Amino acid sequence: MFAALSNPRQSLTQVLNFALVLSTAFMLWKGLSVATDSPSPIVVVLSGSMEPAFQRGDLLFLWNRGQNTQIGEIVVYNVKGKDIPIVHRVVRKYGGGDKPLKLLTKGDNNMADDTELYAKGQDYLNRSEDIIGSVVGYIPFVGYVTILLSEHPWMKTVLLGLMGIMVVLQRE
Amino acid sequence: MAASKIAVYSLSDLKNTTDDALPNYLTSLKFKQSHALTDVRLALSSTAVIIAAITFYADYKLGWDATKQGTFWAVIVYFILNGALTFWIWGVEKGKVFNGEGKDGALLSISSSTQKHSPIYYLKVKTSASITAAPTTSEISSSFTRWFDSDGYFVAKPFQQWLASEIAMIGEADPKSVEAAKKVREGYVELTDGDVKVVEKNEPQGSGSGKETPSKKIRERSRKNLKL
Amino acid sequence: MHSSLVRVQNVFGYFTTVAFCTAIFVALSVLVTPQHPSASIQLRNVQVVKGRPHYYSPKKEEYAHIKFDLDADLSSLFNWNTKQVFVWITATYPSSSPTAPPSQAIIWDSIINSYSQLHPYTPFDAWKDLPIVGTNKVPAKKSKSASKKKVAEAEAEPTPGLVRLKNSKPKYQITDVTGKLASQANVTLELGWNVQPWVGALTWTAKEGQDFGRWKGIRGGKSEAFDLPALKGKSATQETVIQKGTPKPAEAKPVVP
Repeated sequence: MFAALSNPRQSLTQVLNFALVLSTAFMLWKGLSVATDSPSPIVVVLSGSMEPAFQRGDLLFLWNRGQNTQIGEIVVYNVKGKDIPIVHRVVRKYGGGDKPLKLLTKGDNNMADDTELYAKGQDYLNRSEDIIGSVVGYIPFVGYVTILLSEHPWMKTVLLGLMGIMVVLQRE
Repeated sequence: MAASKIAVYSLSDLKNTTDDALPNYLTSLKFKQSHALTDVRLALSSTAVIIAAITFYADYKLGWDATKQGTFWAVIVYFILNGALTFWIWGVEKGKVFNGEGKDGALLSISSSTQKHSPIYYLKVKTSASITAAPTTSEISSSFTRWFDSDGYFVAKPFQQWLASEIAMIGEADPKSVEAAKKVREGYVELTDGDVKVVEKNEPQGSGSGKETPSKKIRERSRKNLKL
Repeated sequence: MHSSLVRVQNVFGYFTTVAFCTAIFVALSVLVTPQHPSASIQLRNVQVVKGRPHYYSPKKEEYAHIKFDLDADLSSLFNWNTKQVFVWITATYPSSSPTAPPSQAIIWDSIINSYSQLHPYTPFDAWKDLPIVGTNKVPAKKSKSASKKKVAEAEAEPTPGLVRLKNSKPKYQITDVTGKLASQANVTLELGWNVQPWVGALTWTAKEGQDFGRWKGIRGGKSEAFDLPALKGKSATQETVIQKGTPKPAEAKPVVP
């Protein structure tokens, strides 16, 4: 196994094989992003504000090419200035056509709508600026791994390390 | 050569170790190995990886909206390269382990393959006297038991003897191995390699050049030996 | 197999493949079940009052308070892959700018849980009634009256999807983005829903006539158009009240065909 490393072409091939695996995964993600026109085409539900529909750890598939968002759709948006995406349902819709489409959202499990969550002075979301996609499909539980990884960042290092070791030890 | 031990039951390990040993043996006989095929493959892979890395960096630095258009083209180019690479590996390289030339510009090209669940090593050998001459192809095969002992160590001498006796061009470059192989075939019981004693029973070993595959009896005996 | 690691990898890979295929099968199976929702909505009472969006907000906006009757049959939306149905009623009215589509605001919504959501199956459910192994104990016999009550309860559990509301208060008071809603003409109440599956694609309201294979669009589901009155208090006669017993003729559709 280690004798092979003395041959530079051999070791370069192995390194490139590993890099190709990572790159293909990354490019598939980017390809999905481009297809759905959303910076984050798959999101994991983090909070319980949409229960009992969505639980923590559910995986949501987004689609961002429908600029004509309808009332009752579930959208994912970023509050201006903050980087936390929120998944809530559209409860009011004004404008559209030539005018910017304004939406008000509310979590199913919340008593009040999201006006307090928006940026200061902002009463409605702007479809073209704030929304990063609306939910079209859903798989339960699968995303819980991501939650674990983000809440315990050391797990990410361990996982990547394991993957690296496995690829180096195997030739395929 | 007491190299590292491999799992005797893993067909991929057996094949990979043998594939590594073949060009080492040939280059020690002063065959010049041509790396053209490997280099093309490396070039394709590197370009693809570099494109992915650039896309990653641009996205990291500039965010989604600014890089949307560029990412679109990067994804397309990447998957075209990936497709080309897959085609290259599957269609052009086709399991080649050695590509090069021997004395006087004679060309030698060897590709290896195995079949699932069978401990037989197949080689397709293409030789031609020069670039313009017509190539001759032959297929030879042998069970891995010929050069692996039951503990999983690779024994070089039987492997080299087999190659030298089966492929004429190699035999010309390594007459000693041809001699030794003949002696084994004629019934000599032991052949030694340093301190590793490999005892060969008096049985017909060779599959001649041509399309012969080892007989069913030999295959069964090999399978029993490998305890599959 | 030549190592335990490879064995584990193979088992895990097989498990993932099977789970994935099952999910795809379940998600696609919903296309086979027919759907035929129907509903009728009638306006009961509407008032427009001035109010603040929040306690500390300086501006005052006009809010509409709309009471309604609802009679809906959404039971055909429930299949084995339905987790819940989120149903709502919007007030739809033309936008203040002529080029924009109608504005909409939800006045009432409700979550209808499916049976499988309220009674999730766990493998332990089958073990609950077995005699306790290894001891001489036997689970206490349930009294006859208790079991009868359970049966009655189970039978009384209504089919999910049938909604009947009479003169219901709205959950939300709505305003317009401009802040002015009084005397808004041509307002209709519309029913909408969102079916949330256990796995797969979410589906939304199918409007009347929008059939998709075995799924029919909703029959009814829209109230008659009405106008919002002027601000309450300006004139006592401005309140639009529908007398009980003489509801406005809506598109009369039977609840259950």
